Amino acid sequence: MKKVTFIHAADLHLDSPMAGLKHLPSAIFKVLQESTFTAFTTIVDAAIFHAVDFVILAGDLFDGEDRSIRAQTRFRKEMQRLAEKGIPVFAVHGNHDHMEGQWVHMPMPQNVHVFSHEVEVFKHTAENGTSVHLYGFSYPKRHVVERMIDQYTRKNGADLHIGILHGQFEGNSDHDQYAPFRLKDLLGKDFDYWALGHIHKRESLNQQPPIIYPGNIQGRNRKETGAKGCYLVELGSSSAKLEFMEASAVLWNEEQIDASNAKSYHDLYVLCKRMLEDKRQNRKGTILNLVLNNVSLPDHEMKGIITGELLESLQEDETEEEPFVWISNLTVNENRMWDKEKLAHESDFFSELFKTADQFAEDSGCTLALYAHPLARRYLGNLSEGEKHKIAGEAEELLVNLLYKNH
Amino acid sequence: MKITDIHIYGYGKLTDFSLTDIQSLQVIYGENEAGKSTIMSFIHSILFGFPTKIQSDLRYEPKEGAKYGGRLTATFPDKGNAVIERVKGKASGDVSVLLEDGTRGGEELLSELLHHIDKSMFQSIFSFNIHGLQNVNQVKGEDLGRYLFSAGSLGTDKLVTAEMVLQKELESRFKPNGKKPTLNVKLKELKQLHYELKKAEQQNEQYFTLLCEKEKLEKDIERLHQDLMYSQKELSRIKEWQELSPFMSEEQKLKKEREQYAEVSFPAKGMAVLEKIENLMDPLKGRKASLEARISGIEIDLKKNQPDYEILRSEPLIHAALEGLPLLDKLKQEESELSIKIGNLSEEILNLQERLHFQIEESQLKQIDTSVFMKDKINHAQKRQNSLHTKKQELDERFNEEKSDLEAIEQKIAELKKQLLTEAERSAIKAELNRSADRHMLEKEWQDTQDRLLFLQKAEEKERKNKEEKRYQEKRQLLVFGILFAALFGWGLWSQTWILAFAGLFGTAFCVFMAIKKQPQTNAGFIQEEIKALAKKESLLLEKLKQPDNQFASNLEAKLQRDSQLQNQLRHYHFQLEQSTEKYEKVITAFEKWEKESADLEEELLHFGRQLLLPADISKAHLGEAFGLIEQLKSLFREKKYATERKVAAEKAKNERLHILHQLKGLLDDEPGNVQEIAYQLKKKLKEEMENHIKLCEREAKLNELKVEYSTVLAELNHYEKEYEEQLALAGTETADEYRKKALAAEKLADLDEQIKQITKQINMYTFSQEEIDRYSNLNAPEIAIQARTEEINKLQGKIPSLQSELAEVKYELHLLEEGGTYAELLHKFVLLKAEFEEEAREWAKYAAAKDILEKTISTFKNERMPKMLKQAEEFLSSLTKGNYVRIFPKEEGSGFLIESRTGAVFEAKELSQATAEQIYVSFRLALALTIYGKYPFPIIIDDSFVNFDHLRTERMISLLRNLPGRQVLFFTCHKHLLPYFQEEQIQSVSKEKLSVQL
Repeated sequence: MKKVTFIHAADLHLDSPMAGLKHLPSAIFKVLQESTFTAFTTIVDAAIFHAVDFVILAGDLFDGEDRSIRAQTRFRKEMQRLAEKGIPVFAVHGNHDHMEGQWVHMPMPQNVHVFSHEVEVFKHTAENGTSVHLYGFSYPKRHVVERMIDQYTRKNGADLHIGILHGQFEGNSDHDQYAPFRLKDLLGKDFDYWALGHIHKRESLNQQPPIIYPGNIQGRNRKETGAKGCYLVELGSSSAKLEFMEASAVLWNEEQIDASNAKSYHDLYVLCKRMLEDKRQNRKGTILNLVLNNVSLPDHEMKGIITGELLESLQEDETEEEPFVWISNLTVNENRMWDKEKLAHESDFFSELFKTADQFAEDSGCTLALYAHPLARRYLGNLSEGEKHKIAGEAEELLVNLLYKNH
Repeated sequence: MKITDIHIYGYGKLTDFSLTDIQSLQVIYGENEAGKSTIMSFIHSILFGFPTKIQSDLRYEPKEGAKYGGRLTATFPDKGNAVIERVKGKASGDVSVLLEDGTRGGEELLSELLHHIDKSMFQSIFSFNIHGLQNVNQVKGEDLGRYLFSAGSLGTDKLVTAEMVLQKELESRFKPNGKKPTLNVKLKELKQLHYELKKAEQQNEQYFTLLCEKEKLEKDIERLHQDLMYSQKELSRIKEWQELSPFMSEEQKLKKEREQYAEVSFPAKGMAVLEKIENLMDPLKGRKASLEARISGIEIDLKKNQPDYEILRSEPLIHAALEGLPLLDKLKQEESELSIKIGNLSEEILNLQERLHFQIEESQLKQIDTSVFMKDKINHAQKRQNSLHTKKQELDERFNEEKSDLEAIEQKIAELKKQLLTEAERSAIKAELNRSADRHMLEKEWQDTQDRLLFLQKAEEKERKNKEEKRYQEKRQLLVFGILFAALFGWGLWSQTWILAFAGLFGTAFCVFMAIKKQPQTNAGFIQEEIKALAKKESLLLEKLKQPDNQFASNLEAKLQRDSQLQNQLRHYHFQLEQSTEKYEKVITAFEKWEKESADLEEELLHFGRQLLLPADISKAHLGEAFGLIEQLKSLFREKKYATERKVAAEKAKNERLHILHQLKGLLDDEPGNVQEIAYQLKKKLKEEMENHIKLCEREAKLNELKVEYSTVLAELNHYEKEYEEQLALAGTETADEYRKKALAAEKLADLDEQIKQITKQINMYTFSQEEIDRYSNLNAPEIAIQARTEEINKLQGKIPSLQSELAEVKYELHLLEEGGTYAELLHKFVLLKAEFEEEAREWAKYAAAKDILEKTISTFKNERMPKMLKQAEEFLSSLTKGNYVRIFPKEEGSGFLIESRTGAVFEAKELSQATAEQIYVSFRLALALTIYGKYPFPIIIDDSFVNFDHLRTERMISLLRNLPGRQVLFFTCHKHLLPYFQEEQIQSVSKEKLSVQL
């Protein structure tokens, strides 16, 4: 039986900074800062443990402009560990760690094969005699929008064929269109496995042959939730066994709590605390985005939530906890006391107000002075239409709360 | 909304006050203090709640304790009639609303009916008074603006508050040129961090430069180290050479000296061997001479001393005789002692024979049986004799006792028989006793009769008393009736009614008759008869009792009793007598038995006596004692016999010993006297001869020894002499002197060889190769070479540390870059801070947007609504002033309004007359209520305005009010002169009577 086992990982983003965290205690910050490295070490451990034939890294090994020397030295260290066990690594560079960058290129050990900027083929013969052709290319520059898939051509002379591609599955609009491809393009190549990279969410585009986005190996912000890791693949000419292996050192999660039964600040606190303890059962550090829905407390009870006291008291003990559950964000959705329609009908003023708010997104160019501030602009992205709508909605709610509430 | 009825239960001074059928335009007239303000306040309170205690408004709580509150009926355009009642309850009162369709509700329903408008809004829009009118010139644009937006559930000050809140929030977050607001602070931090990050990034690029530098430094250091090592080695080598060179020259010198002694040959250690042989030979020669002398001395001694062999041969005999001496003495003593003992024993035997009082031969004595068995039998017989003796005494005592007892009992029986009564006497006494028993019965009967008699007498007494009482009562009744009937009779006579008189007469007569009539005697007779019978019986019994009484009855009884006791005792003694007689008989029988036993014993004793050859008297009385003496005697005889035997044996042994001694006496030279002396002489002589013999033996042994030694010494001496000769031949010399000279030369040669060996050893320790030796031999001045090398080493050593520290620095920097140190740290921080900044900026944007939206809304509202309102106000003003003033518009700058007259002149409000200003105010207020608040159909409440108007303006004003479409107006006034402008049904008075219209 001709078969090989290998690990397929992508989007390591080593030493990628974490975003969207305020007032993080240094202990947790350290763990988080190390998390991409920890996750990668875990993967290398797994490769050694399972004695795989090779490892595929499908692009974005480093985090772009922020590719630190530390990231490279650590990466090299892990590569050396694999070299000692005689496990080759097949890697491509993606849009984030393209080859044009200004960064220092470090020499890698002999077992690391990095594909050049044009599609090329490596031949690898496993210990059991199974030969594999690996196809891939590295991003020569940041933006590669050509349909690179067209350059992949099957070359006979091997038992198995694996395509490595860092690129965008057409039809997914979340990302810029890098090296786009369609499913039928891939299927048409008659390969045995497609090792994709670029999309951070784990996704299997096809069962046979497997076409896999393994996702990134460690969540880096609150949008990248859930378990992250790599795939351990046992590939034969007609069969493939895939096993997802979790590698992330810290979990990012979102949790919704229905607080309609909470009658007091304390009730709410207890509710949140209980949820924290549930989460702690993960046995992994967790960064939590907590949303409290249907909160309806008297104003004096709400005070503790608005001033951030609740968040603080929930965060308080986490520095010492092992594993920690850190609430990075607490969103409170209050039960609306008012009805927009009714209010508009009742009061001309409010109907006018709502009309103005609806138009805000379209003609508010100059009002948000901060976004035009010469210095601030450097650090703030432009607000999209959607964001503006959202801001307008929030402003509207704020206004009604200020004007309508009698007390 | 139109108010139709008001019913005040109690509010201020008003109690149970009603206003009914209120018109669309309603004037409420009252003099001062009649209660107009109270009614106005009442309407407000019913609709919006009683003023709470913390509010400044009056509460109007009734002073006289009437029920606080009241009821208001109003018509609502969409809901129809509604009754709103508010009474005292919680702070603002308890309200109940009843709609036409039967719906009931509280505050919420009311609030809905009132379109959620609040009291202050209502007052500011729909209710105005003279103070407002008079202050019209102070009305500002903003105030109007505020009124513009105050609508529905939107409070009056809310806008301003909201704007302020938003402004504050914005400013606390960000100011374009601020320093303190959080976003400004963050922005500054971010900028700084970004700068640092860029700097750190540049350092990354130095990485490879640093790597090269590191390699170069490492190589340099390596090279220096090698140089240093070489120089150090060289230096130490030179120093060694410096130490070595003296040894080398010494070696040369020694080798030269040695050459002189090259041909000397001498056996190794020859001198020592020769001396050793000489040393061995000297003592041997000495020993040989001394041995010869000693051998001749001993041979002479031997010839002189020969011992006496005869004495030596009889040695055992002499020893035996000497040892026998003490025994001889002892035997003599024993012999004399035994003679004394035999004498004593013979005396004792005689003594005992005397005591036994009979002569007995020794041979007879031996036959007498003195065995233990015999002794036992005799003891037993003796014991029996003793016990029989004791028994006899006991029996004598008992016999005496029993005899005296018997006699005592017999005597007593005789006494008792004398005391006993005869049979005849006894029967006489018994008859006497029977008689005295009857008398008791009689006494009892007499007692009973007396008791009964007493009882009857009492009963009779009682009966009599009862009767007397009864009779007395009857008599009283009869007397009363009698009087009555007498009266009746009297009446009858007086009134000439005869029947009555007759009846009375008859009644009286009856009564008299009844009173007089005797009471019949009935059962008293029977009781008396009974008494008589009983008395008779009593006397009879008494007589009986008085018959002579036997006074000794008790004595007789005692006598009889004693006699029977005595008889009992007598019977008892007879029994005792029988028992005693029996015991007496028994004692006599025991005596007979004793006598027989005694005779038996005596026979037995005599038998034993015969066996012991004792005379009969002794054997009867003292058998035991005699037996003891015989036993003693027997043993004494035996002892005496034994002593005699021993004495004979001792004599015999003594004589034997004496004989031997006399035989030995012949051996001695001189004639000794007694035995002791002989013994001493023998002993002495024997000892001397023994010693002589031992000495002889010793000398012979010594002589042999010396002879053997002598021959050995001779042999050794020969051997050494031979060796000595050989040694001399070996060295090739004839004499010892020559030999010694040659030995000295050989010694010197060996010494030189040794020195050369030592030096060579030391030279070899320096491990210099021949090549090196040749090289360094050419070195003229090693000191200079050493100095040069030392300098070089110092130079090299100085260079290395600086290079090493340089390397360490480079390594550290490399490490920092590899570990990411500052760069990664900064990067992570920067990204975090940036995200934070973005988030806060979003928050800021929310507030900014809110403020923007609010401002826009307000401005739109102003721009669209204000003109509409002003137009209406202008219409009203124009109508009120009869077209004198036509336009009102807000000032461009500052607050307030301008008014344009028909002529086009423009005035400020304060420039106009008071009345005109008031008209402007009214116009504003009405316009406001009708345009902006047109949706809210509340009545307009006007409190005593228009006082400054002349009659024309008043008329216009009133016609304006009358013509307000669909709007109720409640006009409160205290001015009577205004009333004529209204129809009669439009006027209600607060005072008691309704005022009539006066034109």
